[in-house]
Amino acid sequence: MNEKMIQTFARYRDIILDYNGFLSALEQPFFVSIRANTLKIDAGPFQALMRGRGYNLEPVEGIEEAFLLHGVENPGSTLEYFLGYYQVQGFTSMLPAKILDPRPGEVILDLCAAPGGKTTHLAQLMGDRGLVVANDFKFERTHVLRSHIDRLGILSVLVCCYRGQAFPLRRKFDRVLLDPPCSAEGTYRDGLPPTRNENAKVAQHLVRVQKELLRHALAVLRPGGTLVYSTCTYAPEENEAVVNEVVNSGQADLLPVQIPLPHSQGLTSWQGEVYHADMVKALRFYPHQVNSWGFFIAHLRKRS
Amino acid sequence: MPTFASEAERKEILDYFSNRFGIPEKAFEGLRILKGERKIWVVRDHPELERILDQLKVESAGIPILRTKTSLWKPTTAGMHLFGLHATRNVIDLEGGALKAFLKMEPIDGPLPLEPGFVIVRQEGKVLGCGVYGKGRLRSQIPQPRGRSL
Repeated sequence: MNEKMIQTFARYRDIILDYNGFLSALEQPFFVSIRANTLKIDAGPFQALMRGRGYNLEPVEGIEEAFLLHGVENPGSTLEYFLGYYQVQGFTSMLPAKILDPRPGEVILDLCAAPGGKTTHLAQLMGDRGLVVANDFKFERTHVLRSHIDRLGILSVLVCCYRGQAFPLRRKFDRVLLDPPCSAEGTYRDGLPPTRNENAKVAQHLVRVQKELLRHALAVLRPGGTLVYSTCTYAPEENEAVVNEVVNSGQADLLPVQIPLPHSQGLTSWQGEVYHADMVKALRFYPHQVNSWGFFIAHLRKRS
Repeated sequence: MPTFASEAERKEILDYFSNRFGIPEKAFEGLRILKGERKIWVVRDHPELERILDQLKVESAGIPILRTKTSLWKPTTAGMHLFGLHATRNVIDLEGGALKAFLKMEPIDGPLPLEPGFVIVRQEGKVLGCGVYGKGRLRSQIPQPRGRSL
């Protein structure tokens, strides 16, 4: 494994249960996981169709639309992908939209939306009934987002291109998904390039941006509305510390989450810093618990 | 930034799909039509849609169904995937060698039971996308890198 990443992860030795198991899991390759686009085909018929075409598909327990796709080198080159029958997406990456639990007719904001896996999943969970405003600061990234919307045939998404911290405040949303830029440690596996938090300046910048984005995300959320904050990193500075700021200030409360996948609780302290006791309601996913991306997810309700 | 099509513009667009492909107007029920500079879009209607389009600078809404850069309107692959299911006219099912050739972006020689212009190409009832038929020859209009990789 990359020496720099071993050093990066060493600071988590005391917070990751079975740390050696965690390191071993990083040496395993990712499985390709896909999400059936139930707007075009239900999960059952999708499974039958794919198996009929000779694909080795394995359901993911706890997420009915999720499957592992074995033996396909390029899952974005199949006819079924082109037809919009599925989206390639890590199955831990499907959890933020599931936890946000959008309802048909609601108006949802995905503040950092590209490349669009979570946006399109939100629209799918709403049965394409309602509106999802998908925002991303980088215009070129919205092209990828739009290509997924087109291919999946989703009619309820509006794409915007605001700087997240400057998203107009005049509109209030029923629910907000915030998956901000992060150091992406959770996407690291042996053989891949190191993630970007090895540079302390970059890490500090990310934390500042994440805090600004979360404050702004709460500002555009209606009172009583719910928000999911998620990252694909293990760094408590980018996770619990960010969420702690808005919980401690009384802007939002952490909500409990029931999820049928192995996970760990959020941390209540890290390197001498103590976080709100409710932080145990947040979720941490590690690759030795689930063979997918490492993830952090917190579910919040804005105080009325 | 797309704007809402007027009633007359909506009728013109729906007439195009009806006349060219036999796609009934009811396939677009519950949807609003928006006009961009070079594209026509369809988006799910919602009580807040107009207000949001007033409040926010929206780059795109729903999916594009037509490219209108030239006077000859071109249906999009995304639009055909969604609405081509309802087509009864200028639609062709391909199989075997013809299907393989189409996906390899190779022309298929006719004559075929199609009118000249854009047509919908299907495989076993599934809409693959758009082709163009002229001078007795069918050519793929599926974006090339995508078509070649299938």
